[in-house]
Amino acid sequence: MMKNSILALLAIVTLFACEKTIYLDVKQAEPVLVIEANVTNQLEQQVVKLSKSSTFGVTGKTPRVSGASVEVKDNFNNGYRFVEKEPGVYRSEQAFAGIAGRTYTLLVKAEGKTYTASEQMTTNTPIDSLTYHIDEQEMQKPKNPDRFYEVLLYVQEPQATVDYYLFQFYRNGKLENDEGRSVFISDDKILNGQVEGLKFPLFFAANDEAKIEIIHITPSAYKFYSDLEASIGNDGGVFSGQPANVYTNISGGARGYFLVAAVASGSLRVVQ
Amino acid sequence: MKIIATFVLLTWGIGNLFSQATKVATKTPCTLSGYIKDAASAEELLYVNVWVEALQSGATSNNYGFYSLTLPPGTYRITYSYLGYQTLTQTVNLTKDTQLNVELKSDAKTLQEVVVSSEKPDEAVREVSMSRMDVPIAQMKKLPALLGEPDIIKMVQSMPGVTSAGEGTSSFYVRGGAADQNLVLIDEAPVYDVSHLYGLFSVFNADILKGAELYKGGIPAKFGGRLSSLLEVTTKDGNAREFSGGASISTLAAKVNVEGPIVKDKASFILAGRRSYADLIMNQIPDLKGTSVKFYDLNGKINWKINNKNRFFLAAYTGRDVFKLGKDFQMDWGNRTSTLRWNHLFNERMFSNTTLIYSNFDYALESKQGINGFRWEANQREYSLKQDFSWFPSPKLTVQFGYQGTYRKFQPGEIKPNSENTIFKPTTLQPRFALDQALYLSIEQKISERLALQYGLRFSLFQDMGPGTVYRYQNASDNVNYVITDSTKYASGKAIATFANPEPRFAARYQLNPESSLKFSYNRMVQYIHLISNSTVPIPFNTWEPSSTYLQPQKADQLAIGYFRNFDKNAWEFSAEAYYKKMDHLTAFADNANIFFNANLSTEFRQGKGTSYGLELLLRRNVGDLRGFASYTLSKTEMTIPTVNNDQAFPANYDRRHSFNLSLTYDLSKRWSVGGNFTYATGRPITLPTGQYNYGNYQTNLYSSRNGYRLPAFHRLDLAATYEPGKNKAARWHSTWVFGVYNAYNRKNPFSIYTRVKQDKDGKVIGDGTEKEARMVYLFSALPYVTWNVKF
Repeated sequence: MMKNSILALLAIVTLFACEKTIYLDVKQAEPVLVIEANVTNQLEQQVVKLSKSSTFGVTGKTPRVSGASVEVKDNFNNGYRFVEKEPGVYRSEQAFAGIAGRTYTLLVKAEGKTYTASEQMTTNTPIDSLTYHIDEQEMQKPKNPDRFYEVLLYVQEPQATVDYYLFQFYRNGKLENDEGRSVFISDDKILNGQVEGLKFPLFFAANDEAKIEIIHITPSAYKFYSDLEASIGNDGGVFSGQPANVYTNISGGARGYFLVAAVASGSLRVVQ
Repeated sequence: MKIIATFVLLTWGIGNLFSQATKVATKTPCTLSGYIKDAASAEELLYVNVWVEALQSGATSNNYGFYSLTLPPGTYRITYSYLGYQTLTQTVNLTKDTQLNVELKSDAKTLQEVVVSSEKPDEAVREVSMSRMDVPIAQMKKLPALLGEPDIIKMVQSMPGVTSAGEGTSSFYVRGGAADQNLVLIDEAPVYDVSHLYGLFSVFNADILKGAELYKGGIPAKFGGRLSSLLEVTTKDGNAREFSGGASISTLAAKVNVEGPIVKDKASFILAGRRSYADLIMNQIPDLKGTSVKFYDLNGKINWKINNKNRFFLAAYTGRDVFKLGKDFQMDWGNRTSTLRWNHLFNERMFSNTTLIYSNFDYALESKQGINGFRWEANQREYSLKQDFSWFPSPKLTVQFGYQGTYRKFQPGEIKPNSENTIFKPTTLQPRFALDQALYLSIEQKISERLALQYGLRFSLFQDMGPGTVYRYQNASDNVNYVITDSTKYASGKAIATFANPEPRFAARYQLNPESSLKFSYNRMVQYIHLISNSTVPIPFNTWEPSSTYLQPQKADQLAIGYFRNFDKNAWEFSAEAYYKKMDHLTAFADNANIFFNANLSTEFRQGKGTSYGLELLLRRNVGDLRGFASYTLSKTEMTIPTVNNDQAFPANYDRRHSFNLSLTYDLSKRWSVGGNFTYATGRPITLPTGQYNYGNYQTNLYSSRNGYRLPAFHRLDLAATYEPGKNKAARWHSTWVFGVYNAYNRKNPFSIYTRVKQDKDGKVIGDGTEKEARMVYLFSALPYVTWNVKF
């Protein structure tokens, strides 16, 4: 909320501004391991992705890291081995669902180094319902010719606990986050518990499938995503804070995050 | 309030005692005292030089226009001299205490506005204080300005020892200090956010300014509360002889002011208003859908001089920025200040100044989007009482002492839902209260013809006050998983945390010869309130936080030496100053700190150390057709903040190795004058990525060191020409035109570098979204402007 306001305000300054792309002649840091690991409360093969950081400005995906040993344990002595299915993508041998309250620990051994992270599984926040309607304003001048259906979310937010959420929106199964330029997170400190008709941040066409995942995350994961958001929206440190590395819960010098979180999802199909 | 009342009685007692004591102790000598004013408008003149030739000694009128000289009985020739005014010599036969109010005539050879400069010809060499500069208001109006709006903050930014974060910002950084370490006062009331339009302009309307002084070091004990500097802005009293006024229209704003007597020579008023008018144009453009931006300022002052012994004034300022983004979203912020001052003369040697001050800063954000509907407000206000005494026992000794008490209230944030189906609930962050008090004693003493000292002590006491709750954390600086283990409730009026600090101040001047002097100064400054900002340039949505359980007061010790030399009968002033400053408990924040609406903000504080040192050169010409100054600063500022930059020292955001400024005006003829600014500075330090990585479809950066790189150097030339048509004798008004161009050679000065996913002009991602690019932002191209001023 605040960040958006600041960005909007920046528009005043940038009223006069122009900008251009430049080449950065900077010393490049040594590549580090990047871990994107998830354990959800869904019964599925959980996924851990390993890659490396690259030099700034290169094209193409960053290098995948193969041949690592990946394992997840919980605090009830259950262990889950992960095997590499495609380069850099490791899936648990067996499907398993994270159980609320249990602590899961990730252990990665890659290129001679060991990395660990732990996080506690959160509880589920069920979605009441989704509805949709035509947005008249959008229909008059749609950015995309057919997309003028607005989808609304109804959910009860438990007020007794302090909670943090990550929202992921999908259109026809494809994750929509402004091509990696938006992060949708919220805490419940200023929410009144009754979310009745919160708009999805994207429009849908007839016959589209709209889906939302409400991921109940830990304070630490919230810090990760809020840093990520700050990093994406940083103006170079003039009016926003100085650019800095995004928080990680992984020890051993890797970046990225081991996310252990309950996912609630809801979807609907827009019918004309 | 009881404490304050008791205190006032006590200080008044002291005041009376001193004045009685003076009478007894100095039976034989006599005191010559009075006010010095402008002959045309009766406006009091500050810092006028009063010189007794026979004794080779003198005094200066204080910042209320009052002077006092105690001399053995006799006949003296007294010379009153002031820059821009005809020197007045009076012969006085002093047999008893005498009051002599003096009026000086402006020596302005054209019909230009009276030059009210607060510098006497050899002030720079002779005064004890150093690291002090006045802002030449009259000259400023002839110098080029962005969109034709003269701005004292921009002038301050061009002074030696001062840097800026870039053009288009109103923050300034003095001798390695952060933007929140400057105390900016308008008629003694602090202004918490000096920016309009996000810093493009400052809140000070040039039409109402009488003078402005910047203290960078050797700060007298009378002042405190900030680490780095004091900018004291004084507004005009209003013409006590006749009605006059003015109006102007610039590319940015329209201004109007009117002043005049209420009772001739006794009471006067001045009113001034300024308003930007971009919104009036923006509202006509349908595509903007209600998006607009505006600001306004209103200043007013009433002066009442009952008699020589009692004078009052009441001054008020209010200003606001309003920014509308479409129909549903609005942001606004502004300051309100007021000052009630009473100057009282106990006798000719005892001058008293009692001031009541109110200052308020607030901002609000409002969304009227139904489900997302809320109004967010934050503010801070303070009430102060200042009691200052000046005692002039002899021409060799001036003693100042007094008390300042301030009660502060901070409301860091309050969210109010503004629609029925909104998802937000009313939420208020804990308000904070503080009581800030100080006692000071400052002595200026002429030891010999050559040596003069100014020494003093300020004793400050700061209390974070209840009502409030202080939380204990398992780890007070864990800003990720904070675990609250305990809490303590404090009742209203109970001190939560108390800090007391002696702040010694010392300055010495050694006169080498009539044209040159050496100076030295030391000061310790303590700052008890902290701006909650982690950006380079503070924004209007930053609030302040009192020192408390988890936030220590910031401290700075500064040493400075200087060489001052005037040439050609004081036509040219030269000075060289070197300083070293050490800062402790410098307030900073953790990486990516969440500073907005955070109930556990204390976990984000990281206090560290800083050092700054530098050399400042200044050459200034104050008289003749060619006036102006050249300044050069060589400086270095580093800080070490726990957990930031791996605990390693890094350059401050505003650290610039070299900085050079040249500001000149030249009177070509009675009608035309020209002015120019040139500025050069080493690029500001920036943090650049040293790698990138993917997380999901997000591309983010890897950083190795804070402020490890620099923007390219900044340089810019601005030009202006002022035309004053001959005055039509029949007309009751006359006008001036100012034509100018900002950034004359169209330099694209880098403002910032940021990174983003590679995209085209329309914001469409290029390629598969894995490629990033760095973008350099420029602000102003060459910007021409015209301003029309009229005076009546």
